[in-house]
Amino acid sequence: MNLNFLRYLVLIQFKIYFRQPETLFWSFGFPLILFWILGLAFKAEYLKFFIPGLLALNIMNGALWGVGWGMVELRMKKYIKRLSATPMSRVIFLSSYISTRICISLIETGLLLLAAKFIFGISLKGNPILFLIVFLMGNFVFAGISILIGSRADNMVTANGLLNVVMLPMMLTSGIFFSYDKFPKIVIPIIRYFPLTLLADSLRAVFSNSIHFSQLGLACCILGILGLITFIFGIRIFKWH
Amino acid sequence: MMIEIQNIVKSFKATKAINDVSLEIPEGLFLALLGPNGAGKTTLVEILEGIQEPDSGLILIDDKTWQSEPKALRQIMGICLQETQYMDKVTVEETIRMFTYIYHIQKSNADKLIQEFGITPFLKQYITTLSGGQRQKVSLLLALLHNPKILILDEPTTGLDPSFRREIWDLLLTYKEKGLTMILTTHYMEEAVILCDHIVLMNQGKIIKQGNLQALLKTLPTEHKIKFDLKVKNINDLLLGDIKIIWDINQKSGTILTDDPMDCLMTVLNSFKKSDLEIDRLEISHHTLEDVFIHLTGKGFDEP
Repeated sequence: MNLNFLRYLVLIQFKIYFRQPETLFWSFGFPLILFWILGLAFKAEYLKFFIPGLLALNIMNGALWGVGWGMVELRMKKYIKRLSATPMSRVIFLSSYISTRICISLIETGLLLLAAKFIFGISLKGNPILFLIVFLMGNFVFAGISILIGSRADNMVTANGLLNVVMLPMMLTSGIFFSYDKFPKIVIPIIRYFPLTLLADSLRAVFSNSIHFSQLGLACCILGILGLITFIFGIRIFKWH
Repeated sequence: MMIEIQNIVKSFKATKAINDVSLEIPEGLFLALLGPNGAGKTTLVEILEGIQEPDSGLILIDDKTWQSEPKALRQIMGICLQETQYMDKVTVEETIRMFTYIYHIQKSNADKLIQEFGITPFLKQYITTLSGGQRQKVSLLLALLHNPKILILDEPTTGLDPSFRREIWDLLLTYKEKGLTMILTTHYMEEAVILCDHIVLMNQGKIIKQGNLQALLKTLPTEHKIKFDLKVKNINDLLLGDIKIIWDINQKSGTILTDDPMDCLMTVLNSFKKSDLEIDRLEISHHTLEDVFIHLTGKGFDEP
């Protein structure tokens, strides 16, 4: 496995990311502003509910837009076609997107956690290692879904449509801004197994309580397996030309 | 043979892009695939590059097939696609470095090529901010970075200004001298004539003729042509003996194919004088590759 190539590709993607001021604003600045405004408007109790949801939403948005969108853009530029004519490992190429996304997401999440602690005095109560495991599973599942979405789309319109089809239902129902218990009882068992719901609920559980890993084991397994399936299927059907 | 193409067929829905093409390319040959848009040149080279799969037929490159040894083939082939764009916000230097990692090449090897290609002044620039010519030089460098046995160039100078086109040609001629096997697709006849040893004329997915320039020109019945434009439309019956004029649709311009341009010209001018036809423009020239193409297909390069 060409690890030097993986390392360099991650480095390049990092550079691309930090060379775009607009991207930096929407990734780091906007969530902090939103967080600050909501923090002023609502009580600490709601913030404890909202912060893990915002982290989950940020993980989903970052992975879906950052990975899937990037793939489609490179395909449209015929750059993926050019790379496909080299001996480059395709798995490494796609893995580099996931690795970069996880690193960037780590910074974004770290900043939000710091803001929560120093502005509103709300900090992580549960096990940090467990929090990190849930965080990694969340990034992995959404990066996998994103690779699957970006594997065939030829243009931005299609990619945009597909991303919205995946994102919007979860944003509305997964209990990010308010509890999904308000939804009709018949749909709640389905909503609970949406990747964003699993991620937000798991982050919320470990954020507010000293919870044991076994209590989140099922959620982490589902996220991990779904991530793996979408990643492998995405690679198999990926359109390189 | 470095490359053997046997009975390749490739269709896109109802359109046959490549229709039973066979070709042999020995080591060190610089071959041009010449033809109008839609002739099947790009499809054929993309099949050679392993980017597309043929519906039927066989391709042997250095005794390997894409099915059996794809990694080995990617290692020996350098490709320069038509209009590749690159990652935004990535410098030329970073792009080259990325390719050195893909091919496991020492940085010093890349540095030599950077010097040779004169890319040093814009090494720190974002690749997307380069001019078309500069970008194409980078594409060519990336194609040659791993010292390939075969270089495939898909319309490398399309849309470039003459000075950059010349620069690319000079670089390619250097590699021709070094004995690199090269395949170039182009619709510029001049490019094929200047650069290549062997020219393959393609039309509608088929090879219609191939050989060196002299051999291709010999397929024409005459050596010269006389072209003229009249000031007014000709409505006369001109007495020209054996000389045949191929009139354009307006009856104002014509072409005469001849082996004896001087005699032919005298006869034609006399006939025009008797008929009070004034000439606006007159040109005697040797035939070109386009004449061969017209002779073989009945249409010009730019005609649909």
